[in-house]
Amino acid sequence: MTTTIEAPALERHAAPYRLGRADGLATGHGEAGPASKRVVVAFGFWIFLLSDIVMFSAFFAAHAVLQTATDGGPTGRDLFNPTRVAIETACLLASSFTCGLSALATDARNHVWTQAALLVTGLLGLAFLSLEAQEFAAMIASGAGPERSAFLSSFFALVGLHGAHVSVGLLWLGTMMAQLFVKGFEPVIYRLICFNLYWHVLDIIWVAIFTVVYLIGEGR
Amino acid sequence: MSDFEGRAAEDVAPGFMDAPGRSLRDGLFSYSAGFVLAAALTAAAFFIVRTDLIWGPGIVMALVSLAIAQIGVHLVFFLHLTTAPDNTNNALALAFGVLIVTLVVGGSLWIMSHLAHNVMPDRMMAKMDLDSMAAESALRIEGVVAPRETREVGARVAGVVSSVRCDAGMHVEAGRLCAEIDPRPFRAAVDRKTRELQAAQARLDGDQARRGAARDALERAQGATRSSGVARLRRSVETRERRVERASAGVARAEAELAATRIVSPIEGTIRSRNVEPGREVAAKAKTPLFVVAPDSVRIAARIGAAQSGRIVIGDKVVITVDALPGQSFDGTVTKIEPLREGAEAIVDMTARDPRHALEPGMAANARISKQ
Repeated sequence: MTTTIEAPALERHAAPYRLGRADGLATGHGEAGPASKRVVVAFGFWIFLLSDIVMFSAFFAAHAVLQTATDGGPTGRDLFNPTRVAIETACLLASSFTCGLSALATDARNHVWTQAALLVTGLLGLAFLSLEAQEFAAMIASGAGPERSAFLSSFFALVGLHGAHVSVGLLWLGTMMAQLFVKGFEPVIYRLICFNLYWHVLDIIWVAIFTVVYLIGEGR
Repeated sequence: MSDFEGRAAEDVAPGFMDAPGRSLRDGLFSYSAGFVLAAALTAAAFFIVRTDLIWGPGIVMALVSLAIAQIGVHLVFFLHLTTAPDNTNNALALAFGVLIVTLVVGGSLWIMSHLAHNVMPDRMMAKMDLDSMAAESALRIEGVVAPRETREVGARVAGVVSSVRCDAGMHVEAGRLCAEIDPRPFRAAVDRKTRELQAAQARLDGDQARRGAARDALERAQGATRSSGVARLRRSVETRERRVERASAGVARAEAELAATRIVSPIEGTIRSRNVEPGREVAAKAKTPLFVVAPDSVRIAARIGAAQSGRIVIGDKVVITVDALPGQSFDGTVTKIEPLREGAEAIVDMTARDPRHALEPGMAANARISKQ
């Protein structure tokens, strides 16, 4: 069954972006058979990530509305340290890049490079998390905790939610590296693909956070 | 053959690097290009909030644009999303996600800004009511900020300056000690004058006692010669009384001079210049003042018509605003109304408090005079 489908499929790769395919095996018409497991898994995870982004959007909306509701307490200008935010941003962007490199190494089925890239990704993520933990601790110690004003409640909710995602991602990454080490590529290949998507999306959300919360918030 | 090796031609999931026809080199190029572009966009975002390269109110828009651009870079170079037919499902899902995000964020901002506009906090409402009530009886006149009348502080007695406590730029209240002239010679003068007064008083007391005794003796004896002695004593008492008066005036003068060794600011204001150091000798009534103090209040002069002048009285409260300083207002009072040309016009002087010295001479000022 697979072989009969594969033969014409390889032929079509000569012009994969050609519109109005005349071969009658168009996507979604059931004529090409079910999509491969890889496509189904990755697409399903993509849908999950989009729903996660929708959840984040609610936190963003709350923060955008409450950004000036400081109740006479400290504002973003008083609290934020632009240098720390820049370092956090650099860590996360670099980890997104090394995560992409790990995907390339996985495609080449290179164990050493995959593990190395994943390790760097994890360390950069850890650096990001510790910087964020430092920031939260300093803010709470100076009396600017989430209970101080609506602005700070929404700040801790939004940035904390992103931090929680990064923490979960790191746990996932560690588990996966151990599985990869013990079991090899075959059983973890879908998890690696999904983790890649997850990590890139976390960076996309961070782009929105450093823009809306820190850079715009600093000027409010 | 496992699923991921049997690549179905029809669809590609997001993040696929092993799509047919893409080599490791392509992949490396894609991730590196994405990394460089994203880093450049991030750096640009952090840069534009630090400079005034972009017009202030436009910074938010610029930041949002840079963020959207960077998200686009991430989607294309890291998640490998394209507009190709094999990516339709991914792009459609993304488009739906963007739609929901736009509705949630945009809708929240929109509805909350309307809500904030329609339901103002109580405090703001109360102020609005007062403002609208006051507007009916308020009188608006236009005037000009007059130059600040600085006050010169000099020494009224000569001596050596022992300490200086004010400096240029300092804010002082009326009566604040700014410098001290060595008080010891003046204290000695006060002591000397006090002793002179005591001596004069003692002599006066003695003469008065003798005159009293002489008067008693005269009453008993009724002798003519004695009467001239009483008259002499009376004249002596009068002389001594004058001397006591003079001596007490001397004490008062010496005490005034001692008090004048403390050089104080006569008004509340800011020290503009200082021209004195400890240890320097200063002369009384010297040409150069020791300090120049600029007052915290500023005078605003306005010319008004007769119809308006009847509605203003000295002591009316005014609120001054200046076009050059949007959002700031200064409280003051009407201090002088001076009719011109048989009452057809009048000059109104107002004094407004301006402790930060924001008002500059020559600024056009709008004064709102509220009548209770």
